[in-house]
Amino acid sequence: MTDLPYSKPSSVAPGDKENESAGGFTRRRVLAGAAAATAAISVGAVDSPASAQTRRQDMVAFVLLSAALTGIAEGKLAPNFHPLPSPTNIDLEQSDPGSDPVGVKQEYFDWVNKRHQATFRRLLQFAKDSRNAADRAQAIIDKVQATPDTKYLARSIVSMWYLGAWYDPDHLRALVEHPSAAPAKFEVISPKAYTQGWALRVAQAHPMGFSEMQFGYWSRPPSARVDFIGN
Amino acid sequence: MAAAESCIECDVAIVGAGFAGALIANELGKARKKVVVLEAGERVPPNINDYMKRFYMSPAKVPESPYTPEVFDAAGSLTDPSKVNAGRPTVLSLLPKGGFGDWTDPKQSYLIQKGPRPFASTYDRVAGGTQHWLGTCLRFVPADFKMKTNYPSVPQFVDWPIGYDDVNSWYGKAEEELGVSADVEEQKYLGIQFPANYRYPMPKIPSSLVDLAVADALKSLSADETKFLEMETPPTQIRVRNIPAARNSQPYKNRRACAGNTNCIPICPIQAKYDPTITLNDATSTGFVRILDRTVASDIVVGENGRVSQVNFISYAGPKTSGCVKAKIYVIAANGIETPRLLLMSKNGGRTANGVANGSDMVGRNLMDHPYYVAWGLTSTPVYPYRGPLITSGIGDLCDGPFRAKRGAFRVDIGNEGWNFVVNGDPNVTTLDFVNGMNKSKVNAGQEALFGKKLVDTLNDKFTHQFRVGFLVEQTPDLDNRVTLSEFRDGLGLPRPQISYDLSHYTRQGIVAAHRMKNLLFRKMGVNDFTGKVAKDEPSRFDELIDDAIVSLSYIGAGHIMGTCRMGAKKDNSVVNSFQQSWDHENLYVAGSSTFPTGATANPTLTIAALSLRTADKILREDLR
Repeated sequence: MTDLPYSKPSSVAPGDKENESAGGFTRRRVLAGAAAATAAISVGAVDSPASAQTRRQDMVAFVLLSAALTGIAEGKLAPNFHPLPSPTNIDLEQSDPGSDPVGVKQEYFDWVNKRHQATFRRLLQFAKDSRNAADRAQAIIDKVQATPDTKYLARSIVSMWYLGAWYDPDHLRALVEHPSAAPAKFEVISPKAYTQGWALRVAQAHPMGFSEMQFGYWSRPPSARVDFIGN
Repeated sequence: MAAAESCIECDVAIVGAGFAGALIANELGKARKKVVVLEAGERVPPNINDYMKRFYMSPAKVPESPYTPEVFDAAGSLTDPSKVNAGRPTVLSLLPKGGFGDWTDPKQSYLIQKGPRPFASTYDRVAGGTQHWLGTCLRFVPADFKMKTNYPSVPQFVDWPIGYDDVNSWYGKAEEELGVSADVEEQKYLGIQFPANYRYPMPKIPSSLVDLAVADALKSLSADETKFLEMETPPTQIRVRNIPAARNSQPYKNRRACAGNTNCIPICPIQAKYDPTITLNDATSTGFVRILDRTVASDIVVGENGRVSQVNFISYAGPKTSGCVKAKIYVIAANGIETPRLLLMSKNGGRTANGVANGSDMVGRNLMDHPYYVAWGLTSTPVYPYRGPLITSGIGDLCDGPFRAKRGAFRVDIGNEGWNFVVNGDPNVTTLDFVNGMNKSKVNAGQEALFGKKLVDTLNDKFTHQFRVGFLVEQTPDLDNRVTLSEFRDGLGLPRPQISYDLSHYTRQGIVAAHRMKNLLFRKMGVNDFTGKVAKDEPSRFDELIDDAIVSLSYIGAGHIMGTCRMGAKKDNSVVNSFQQSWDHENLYVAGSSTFPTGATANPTLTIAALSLRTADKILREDLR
């Protein structure tokens, strides 16, 4: 059941130059203070329609971000993800965010973008900025941990990939800062999201109620973990 | 409410479309008898897509989650049972007093629970509410039918009016109908016999890696270690056996082989597990069986001659209407709570003031379950749970022995679903602990919050070592464990069931023995015990002195509602005879586990099915000749 985390595509879509206004916008955000950026972005993102190229670059960044935070390979989270020209020298324009038929990543991207756009843009920029770092995952994780806003949204994103469910970052923060016996609150994002949850694939199994395996598999040891999550 | 002008007429009217109702309807339909089935719940949908969607989207994947009525209302509270036409209990209304899910709160709990302890089993309302069963198809062991004879020191026990030999062939027919996978040689224990050359319809379902880990540990049990069990047999007899299950191990009756979705409860996504909708479909295909859904039987009318003359119902399929059905024979096959409720509601203007079929005063009494004692921990080497059917094996050899003169027997279930339900919903709970630096699962004492590879390594380690075991404990039939009618009403204005329930000393001692067995098993397996301390306000909590220390124990429900219309040999102390025929009303039958005089430790379904086929045969041979 191994999907190679990366494989070179036969052809690469020609990349346009990064949309200047959108690109400048995201760079400006990182330089700006968090509060100022929040205000600026929520207006800007509504006003400026992102080009297809920008959306593509953002998705590449989202996959890189998600892989770093979850510990699950890019090619597993986003089948047919192709970092180009190479996994250690990633060009956001050239890279292919993947064309998997299930395509839960777009649903997740839109979900987060709709709820916490400003902080989300910062997380995406971390991924863009660290895309060619020697230890990309650690570089992204270090940046994410720097402020509570980014840290808790990052945790929400990890929970989303693992469980197909949304635990809001404000709630996660409250759970830590004001511990209570009450169970955590969450909502399942969609039936598709539930079936694409990674938590039990990390356990070398499958989401309960969504087995893609055959009769009797449970009487034999599972495949290696790398076959499930690429790591 | 509009009333029907005339009654529906048929040969046999059946109330309830679960295992008993569906099987009887199908047998009668095949014999070209006209049957009408009244089902309180929703229509059986043409496919399970809506159920699956509701299951996937449910934050609490409890047994009821795929089915209607919705567990939660729009505000996120539990649906108010007084507004529901055909209500049902949920495990979410078994929580401590005073908060969400308060087990004693009639606004949250459909059952009006009077205690002193909660009745912890639930049921559903589609196809008799039986789709969320596990699939276990154990036969009773012969001793289970003769408890008074075998264990006269226990005053509550009675004998069944029939024995294992009377039901042996019916078990076989039931196994054929449900499609049971098992191995005959492996199932011969504690006196269970099969007809010569008998074979189960399908080969057994293979053991999981969790099962093998338990089996390995049992090999080194010593006589000394197992003395507390008070078995007659040496400890080498305590072994793991595959559990017969109505899950396909190969394609059977146009359904696929199990793909190990690990989701038998609440729903098999590929219907490799049998459920009564399959038999209902066969029944309606005979052309002689009609199912009226959203149709709640409200009154059993008895004529001057003592025979049932009609059953009145309320339909809520559209605007509420009342109606009636007239038949030669009536079968009440609701369940161990809804059946006595209907019998007790039917007072016939005072002629049956204590309820229909209740000359013995036994209707509603002797309510039993298999109180389920659950324990969990982390194994020393990976056992890879969350793979395969929820349960593939167990320990059945402790179901009978001389200890039964003193304490309840138990049967051991080996869970393949890790800590899924014991920590209130894994994989979510443990995942969130390590993502957000919390410790609800108790395995993240350092409250680490992890990302990336560390997160993957940690979760893989925790999940692959999760182990869960359960003990189904035999419960005595007790007169005061009882279903009566409450003053609280449902959405149709009918009285809701009121439950009084307790565990006898005998039953509690069964749980104590189960607790000791857990300790022994965990020691042998090298399991690090994480079984939660029982909270002070846990409704099912009770304290027992074990080896000079007070230990708090608790139980959950097994979903096995038994005993409220017991069968017997005599009219004065039982509701029905061995054919489940009312002593008081010749043309009335009560089918299902409500007729069980004692509950044994086996899941009741296969015995329900066997007795139902036997009842259908009796009706065809004698009543409708």
